[in-house]
Amino acid sequence: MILQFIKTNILSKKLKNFLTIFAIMISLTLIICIQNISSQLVSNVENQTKEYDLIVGKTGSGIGLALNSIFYYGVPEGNIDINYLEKLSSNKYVKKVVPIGMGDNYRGYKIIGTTPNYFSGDLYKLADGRFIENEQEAVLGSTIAKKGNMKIGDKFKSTHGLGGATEEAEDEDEHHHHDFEYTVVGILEPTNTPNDTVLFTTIETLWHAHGLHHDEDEDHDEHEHNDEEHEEEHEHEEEVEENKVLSSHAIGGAKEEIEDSTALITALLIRAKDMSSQTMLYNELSNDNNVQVIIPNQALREFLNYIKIFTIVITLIASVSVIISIIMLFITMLTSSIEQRKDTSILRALGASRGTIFVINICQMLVLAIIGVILGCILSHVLIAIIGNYIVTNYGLYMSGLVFQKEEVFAMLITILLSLLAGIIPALMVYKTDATKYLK
Amino acid sequence: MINLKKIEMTYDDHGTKINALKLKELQVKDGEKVAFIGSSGCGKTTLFNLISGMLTPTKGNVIVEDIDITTLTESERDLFRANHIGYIFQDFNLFPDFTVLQNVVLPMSFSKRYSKNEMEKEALSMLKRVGLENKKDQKVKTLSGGEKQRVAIARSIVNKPNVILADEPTGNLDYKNGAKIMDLILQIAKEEKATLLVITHNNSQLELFDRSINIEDLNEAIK
Repeated sequence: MILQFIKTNILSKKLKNFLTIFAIMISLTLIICIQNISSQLVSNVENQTKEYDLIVGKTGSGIGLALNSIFYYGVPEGNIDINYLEKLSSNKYVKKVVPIGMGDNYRGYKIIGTTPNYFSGDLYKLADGRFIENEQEAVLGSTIAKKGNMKIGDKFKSTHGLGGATEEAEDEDEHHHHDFEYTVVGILEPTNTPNDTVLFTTIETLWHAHGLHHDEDEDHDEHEHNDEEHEEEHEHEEEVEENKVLSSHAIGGAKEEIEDSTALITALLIRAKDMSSQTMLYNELSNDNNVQVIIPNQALREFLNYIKIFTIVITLIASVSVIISIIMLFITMLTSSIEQRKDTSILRALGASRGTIFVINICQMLVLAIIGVILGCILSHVLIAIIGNYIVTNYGLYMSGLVFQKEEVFAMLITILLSLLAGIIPALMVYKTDATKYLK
Repeated sequence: MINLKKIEMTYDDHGTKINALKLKELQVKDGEKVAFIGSSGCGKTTLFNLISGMLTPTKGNVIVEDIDITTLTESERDLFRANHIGYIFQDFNLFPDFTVLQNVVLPMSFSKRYSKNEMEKEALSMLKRVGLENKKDQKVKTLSGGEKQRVAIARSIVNKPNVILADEPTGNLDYKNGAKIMDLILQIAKEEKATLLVITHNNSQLELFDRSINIEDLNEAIK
């Protein structure tokens, strides 16, 4: 019956209580959205950057290079000399080096030219087919396969340019089609990373798509031969062997057209042997004025620090709005306690204790706060899902509305606690009401 | 039996002490029907508040049903009031957004004597006695004045109190409805074998009671 009393009391002042709930809901939504999105962003950065210790690219913005190489975001600063791949493949500090090239797209989705060892980490699992081995083969990110309803064996033509992640780009750029076809040989499992929204092919395919035809077998043999000679000079035989084979693959037959071919090496992703190797390699490459070297995690964290200031400002605004909501709640409860003096007196005359009256008032306030908090939580996650869907589609950054952070639970509890504190003074006023004054 | 002995009730009004009530003794037998009269401010409502335990006297003892309620703690007095006292007011003092049934059930949740099922059953039986069982789901704010007071009567007796206190129960009703309501209160008090104390300004109703007491004659504070 007491719960019924609380419910009826709340429903009898619909507008006032609705505004209070609305204010709490909006404030909390802001806080949760900011907190959750920034947290998922950091988590994305950490996941994506853990595979590589260093990135080598054209001199320019370090953040731009990181965003471009890791998240395939934006336009590359430029390209680097293909000889860096060869040099780094045989560097004693390098465990793994992978080239990436960009320049073409399929229906607005970037085509990444790379080598098969790009997929050697734990990040990539095939849902169907196999990884790229030969030219004109393509492995699709899960989103592309799903949206384009593509399967193994399908063929498609690429378009020149980096695209804009829209299918209309295909129609707009129709006259820039390359002549030869790609064959889908593999489809990646969803990774919830930017890899879901790109296509992978061999880097040689990209070069060839840009008209860099060559006698692949001849050059390939020549390079393997060179590498074998090189191999004997080093102690770390197995790793170097692997890298050299890759190097020869990557360089392919394009060496005679070195000036043109470099135009398609956008960056080199490097895994150092250990921490000290990373430092040595970083120092070594930092002295080279033709390229820049970055530690991706550091560069992206720097980027996150830039946007952190905005996050802080919005969080502050949201926090102020939470406080305003709590003050609103306090005023609502205060005016209600004044309006309810007669009701309180009636209840006391009927035998309700002061404790019962106090509990009724606190519960009323708690119900409003909890409804506001629950609605705020639901609304924020719906918004995150909508924003996340846009981000996944356009930037390949995974952002789910179903990811809950412990910080948001904390924000919810704090809001409820503050509401409780705001409700205590009015509840105490009601508690102390002299019931006999208001009965007639 | 209601027994008030050497009662003094003093209010503190911003540092000034105001003597509201001072009476040597007042006794009301079980089942007796007593009308209290007197001009406004003579202490009638204060007397009712003392009997119900809403107020505690500055001095003296209030004994109701062999319980000296001045010795009880506040929460014990609340429970005592829920179980032994039925209140009827001039302004009805119902909850307008609640249904008729909810209003009647409400005091039962404070008496701690009934289960949820018993509450509804008992409340319906009370509504039947006051002729409102067919309006049980109607919101109180939609009822007429007479109907509201019937709901208030049903609410006052739902916990089977020994004492019914009615503070000008017909004050807000027209003559015809007032007479009907007073008859109903007397009838219910008789059926319940409850002691009935009624404050009234309607001298024509006095003959309906076993006796009438003018508080002005008893209250030494205003003499």
